[in-house]
Amino acid sequence: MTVQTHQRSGGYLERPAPSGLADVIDSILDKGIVIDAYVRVSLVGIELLTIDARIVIASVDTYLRFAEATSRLDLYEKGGKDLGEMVHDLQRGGAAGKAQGAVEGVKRALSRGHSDDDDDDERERRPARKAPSRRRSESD
Amino acid sequence: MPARAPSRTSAPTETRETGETGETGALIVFGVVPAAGASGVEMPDDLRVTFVVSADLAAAVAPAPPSYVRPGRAELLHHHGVLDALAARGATVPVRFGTIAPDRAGVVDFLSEQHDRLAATLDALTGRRQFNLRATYVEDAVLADLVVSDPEIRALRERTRDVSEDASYPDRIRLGELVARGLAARGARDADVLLGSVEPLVADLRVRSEPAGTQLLDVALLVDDARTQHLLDRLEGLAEENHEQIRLRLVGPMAAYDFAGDPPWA
Repeated sequence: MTVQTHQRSGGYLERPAPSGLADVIDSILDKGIVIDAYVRVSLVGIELLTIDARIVIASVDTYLRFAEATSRLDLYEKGGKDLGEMVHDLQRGGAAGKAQGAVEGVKRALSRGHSDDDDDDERERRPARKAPSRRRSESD
Repeated sequence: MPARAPSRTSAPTETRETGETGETGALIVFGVVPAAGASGVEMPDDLRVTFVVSADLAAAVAPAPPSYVRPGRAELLHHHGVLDALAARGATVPVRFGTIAPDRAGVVDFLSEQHDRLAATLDALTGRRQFNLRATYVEDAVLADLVVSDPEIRALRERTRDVSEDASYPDRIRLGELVARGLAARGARDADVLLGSVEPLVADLRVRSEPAGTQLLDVALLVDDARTQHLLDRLEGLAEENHEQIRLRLVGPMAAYDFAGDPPWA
């Protein structure tokens, strides 16, 4: 298997090498037009692998994995503060506290460099019309 | 070896000679391009294809060897390579991997019967190429934020830490469930913001897969060549400013695999 090299051409945006097998499978396997009149052969092995990789079950196993990952977090390393201090900061900060601030921070950062279209309010109101099923998964 | 023999001057109105490929041989079909673009196309040596031309359309094909009944990695990469080379030259309608036409006449029939739809799709893809964008949370960073921001998660985390696995089982399930929900809610919000920043720069956008785990976004972007650099710059800016929380990964440019039309063709 080809070892993928991540080109970081001076930046944080990951641009993987275009011919890596994993990305090729992911990009093309079930894509492109289907011509019913023609025969289609399929590579059974790879297809199954891909499907396996794509299935993420909202199951007990997933929950236990998240629980484990959350428990092993070493929050003491975060900015030199321990969890108690962070929570204290959060409570002292009230609604504009640290956690919400973190979320908003992402939003603000994401919104920056975003100058040639509609305003922020418009964007906040807009439903995810291009991704209707994301709403569905949110309520699962 | 199939004869490519594309002539720059011949009017592409007839099926080209097949050389020694034979009139009855099955053909792998890679994709459809405008016939004008197929004329004189130089494929890399290891990507030998010929073109079946009908009116102003051309299908890139190759003789299907017996081994193609069970194609593997090499065939998949070959398919990808051919479509990459075609898409680098211009509009290309990709045909799904593993598609085999019974013979050359079958390809001509397809091109003529689906002419209008193929031509319209090629029009929509002209001057545009696809990129796939994924956004994934840095797990430890986003989990730490969830612990800090959600009192119930925090309490459950404390309660389950020094208890035996059996005794804490219900609490751990509950903890994981809350974390999964928190991730989904946060992912939906951040994905909206990401999309809001990217959408103005793309001609079309499709969701490729649903958010799952730490992945909050997986979309295909159809991008005008003239705006590609602008998009790359914006994504680089987003990736840098959010790198502690979110990783952005961009694959492409590639043929427009996700924008060639969904329903089966003929």
